[in-house]
Amino acid sequence: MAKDNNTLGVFQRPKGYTWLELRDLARVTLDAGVSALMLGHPGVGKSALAKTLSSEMKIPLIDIRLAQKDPAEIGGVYFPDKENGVLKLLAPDWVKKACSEPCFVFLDEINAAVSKLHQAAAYQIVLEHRVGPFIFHQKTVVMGAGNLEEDNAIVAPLSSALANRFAHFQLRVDKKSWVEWGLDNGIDSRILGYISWMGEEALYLNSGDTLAFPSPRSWEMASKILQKSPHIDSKRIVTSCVGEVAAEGFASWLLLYGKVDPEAIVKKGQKIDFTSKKNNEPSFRYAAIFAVGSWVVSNLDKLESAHLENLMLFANSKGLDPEYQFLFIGKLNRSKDLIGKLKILKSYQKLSSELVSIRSEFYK
Amino acid sequence: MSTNKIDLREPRLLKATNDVMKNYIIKAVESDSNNEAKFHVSRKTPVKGKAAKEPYIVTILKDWSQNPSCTCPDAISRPELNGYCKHTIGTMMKHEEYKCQLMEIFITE
Repeated sequence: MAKDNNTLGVFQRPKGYTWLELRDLARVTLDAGVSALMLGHPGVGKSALAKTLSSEMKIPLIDIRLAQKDPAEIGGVYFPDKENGVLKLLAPDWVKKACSEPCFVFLDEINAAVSKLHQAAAYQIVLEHRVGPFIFHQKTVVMGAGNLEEDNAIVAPLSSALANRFAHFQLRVDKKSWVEWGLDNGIDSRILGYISWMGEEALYLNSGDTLAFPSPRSWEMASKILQKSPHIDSKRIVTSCVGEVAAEGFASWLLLYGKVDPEAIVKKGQKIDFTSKKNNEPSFRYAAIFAVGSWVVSNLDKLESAHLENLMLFANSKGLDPEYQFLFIGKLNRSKDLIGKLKILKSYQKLSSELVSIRSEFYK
Repeated sequence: MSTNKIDLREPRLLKATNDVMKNYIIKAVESDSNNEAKFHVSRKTPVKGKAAKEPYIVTILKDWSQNPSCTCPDAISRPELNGYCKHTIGTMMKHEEYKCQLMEIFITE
């Protein structure tokens, strides 16, 4: 795509920010009354970021896709006022809302194929926080988001005049951020476990030669279907969302995950010997930790005091190295109540002391 | 989501805790409560201008029902430390029975 000197077609930064980092940075920017522009691969969580921020800021989200809007849906429409013999401008409902109360105006896909008319409207929204004569509430904030040109997404150059009116951030794919977000947003624990284990390459890989590819959004879609229909052929469903290669990896992970019975471990004190040949693969240890940790945090109401000791038995399983024990305690730490109950157990205190002693080697 | 953002491996904190363990006197003192352990923490060699504020008082709850506290300016001015300043960390490191409470700052998700 040809670019003139006055346009910015590709936004490249040496390093992007993780979703968690951007949540803080964008919040500070928006709180200061400066509009923020998020750029990133399709499906990496830009819209989710807007949703989260608006929720944190306790203001309603107005999601506007400029390219899909008719100019009248942005700038309003004139209607005749016969009584006074003039034309009056009627504001679109979203504009009226953004003017009457603090709102989070999210201009999604801002660098999709937008016309000059759309860009002119965007100038006003971004810079002046208004549409024509309709001035936004002084606490209404504006955030834009767009895809990167390298992703084969429909991207049109954003004029430098418009681009210069935003604080720019690039969102990069980050396993930790997504898993944390997923835990808070009910993503299937098997998917979270798989992504935690496999990392960013499993979370996002768009080679451009398949329609279905793994991304935070497509994993979220897979999660929704899996949770809705737990008995469905999971591999086919996951393939339809994230593509064949990613689904193959996930299916292998499911085999490991399925070998663990978290309920039996927690309620009956079932043991796993991680030194035995069939259980000593790091991937299995990780799957077991994720399966038990996720089950516990999802079934806190079913936990009895005897089960807490079983959790410690599991944490002290033969062959479960300290790094995995840390990981397991970290999973349980999702529930502060649970950790509070564990703290009074001698077995938890003993394990904690041992783990801290190992970590405190750093101090010598 | 965990709100504790301290990382003990952070070089600055690591250095500071090391400093406490090597260059401070940590002395157990009496407490009014059976559930509390109190310690006076002060430099072996007083530093001009700072000695007057010491000893800092580190309080640890034996039953681990709450986070520790310290009277140093760092612990007071930085709520994000949740009481885990270099003095409390150094004190817990030196006392085996309270070492487990450092797990609070080691566990991450």
